[in-house]
Amino acid sequence: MDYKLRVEDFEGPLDLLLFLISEKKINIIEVSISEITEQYINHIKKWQSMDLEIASDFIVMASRLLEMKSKLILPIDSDEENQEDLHKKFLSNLIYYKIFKVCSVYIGEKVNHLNNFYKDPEYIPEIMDAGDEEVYINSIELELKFLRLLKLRELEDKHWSKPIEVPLERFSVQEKIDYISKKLENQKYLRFSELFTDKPCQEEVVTSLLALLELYKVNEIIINQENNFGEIQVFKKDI
Amino acid sequence: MLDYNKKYAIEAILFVAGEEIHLKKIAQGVNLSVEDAKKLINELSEEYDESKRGYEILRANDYYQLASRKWYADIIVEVFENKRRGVLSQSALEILSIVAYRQPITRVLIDEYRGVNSSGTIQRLVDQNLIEVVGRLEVPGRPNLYGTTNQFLKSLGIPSLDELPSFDLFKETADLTDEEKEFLNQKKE
Repeated sequence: MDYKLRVEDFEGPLDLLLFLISEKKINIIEVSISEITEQYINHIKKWQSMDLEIASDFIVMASRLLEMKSKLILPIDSDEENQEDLHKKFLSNLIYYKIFKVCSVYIGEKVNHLNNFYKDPEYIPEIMDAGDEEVYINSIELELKFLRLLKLRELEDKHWSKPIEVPLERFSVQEKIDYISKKLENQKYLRFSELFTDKPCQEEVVTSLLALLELYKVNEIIINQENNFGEIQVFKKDI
Repeated sequence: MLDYNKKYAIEAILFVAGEEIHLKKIAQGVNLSVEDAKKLINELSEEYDESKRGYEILRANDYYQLASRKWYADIIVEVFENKRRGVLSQSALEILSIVAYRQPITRVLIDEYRGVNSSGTIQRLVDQNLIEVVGRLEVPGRPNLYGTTNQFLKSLGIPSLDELPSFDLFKETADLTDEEKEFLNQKKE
């Protein structure tokens, strides 16, 4: 029998994948990535008129599948472990999604049908002016509020596994642009290597290059390189 | 022997509170220890259940609330039509399940479990007071961590998260093949 599946019939890309797998009546583990990728893409191609937001989720999954598929085909040894991780993560993702779907049916039965309870109407709390006025609060309430704060703190601590390094931005593209423009006022041309301090770090080189590209884009400089890997020369554009 | 008047004093407190109220506040109100207050609340609750009263006592962690008995929900809905609560969508239920079993959890991880962007539905669940922000993850951007609320427990009819059915139970109902189960076990190690 021929029937049409619409995008609305699925909760998301994982749902569609599970459906495609279940049609084959095989194990999730046994799924052939290249086969499923092809079917998946054929399927979403039919949904040309998808809502853009929904579509993006499906397309992200398609690119994930294609990445896995291409890595399976390419014999790159150094990347083997990475590829295996990707595959494993994908499989466990699918299996967990299958479990959570069952779980959501259970929760849905409970929440949607069985346990509706109703209470007294809610009173709209008086809006208090949070000025310097004295606050009346009894000790129990204070304790409860304090305990709640402690609990929050504890939760945050739990996730504080290791400190995170946020690199300091020592060079900005704008600074480099200004620097280059200023230098070009006095010199006919500049060599790329002149753009840095004596011992440039990677960050400085990258920032300088970005500044050059930006200046080139706004049509203020001309860039010249005589031969491959040769010195890059930067000229001010004559107006 | 505990004082019976105090039991009905508790009833009065619960009635006036309308919403959930912490056990400590109840105990303080009737000048009893927390344990004794709890005993009286349980007695009261049994009394209601035995006589099939129109209301019952709900518990969520250390909070108690007097509410109309769930059996009568249909009748209540008919009388107060505007109080009908919307039925949750499939995506809302998926998110609710993931938060229930993986809390505290960030939005990004919820998205990963579902393979779809969940931010809109998460916000609706927060508005419905079924999940809430319980903290922030200390990584750059400090994303919100979501957990379930007391409202969620009461809607589900369980007094605490410990009484959620174990996650393994769903592994059984999900009809996983042996290979699939083994795969999940391997991954844990």
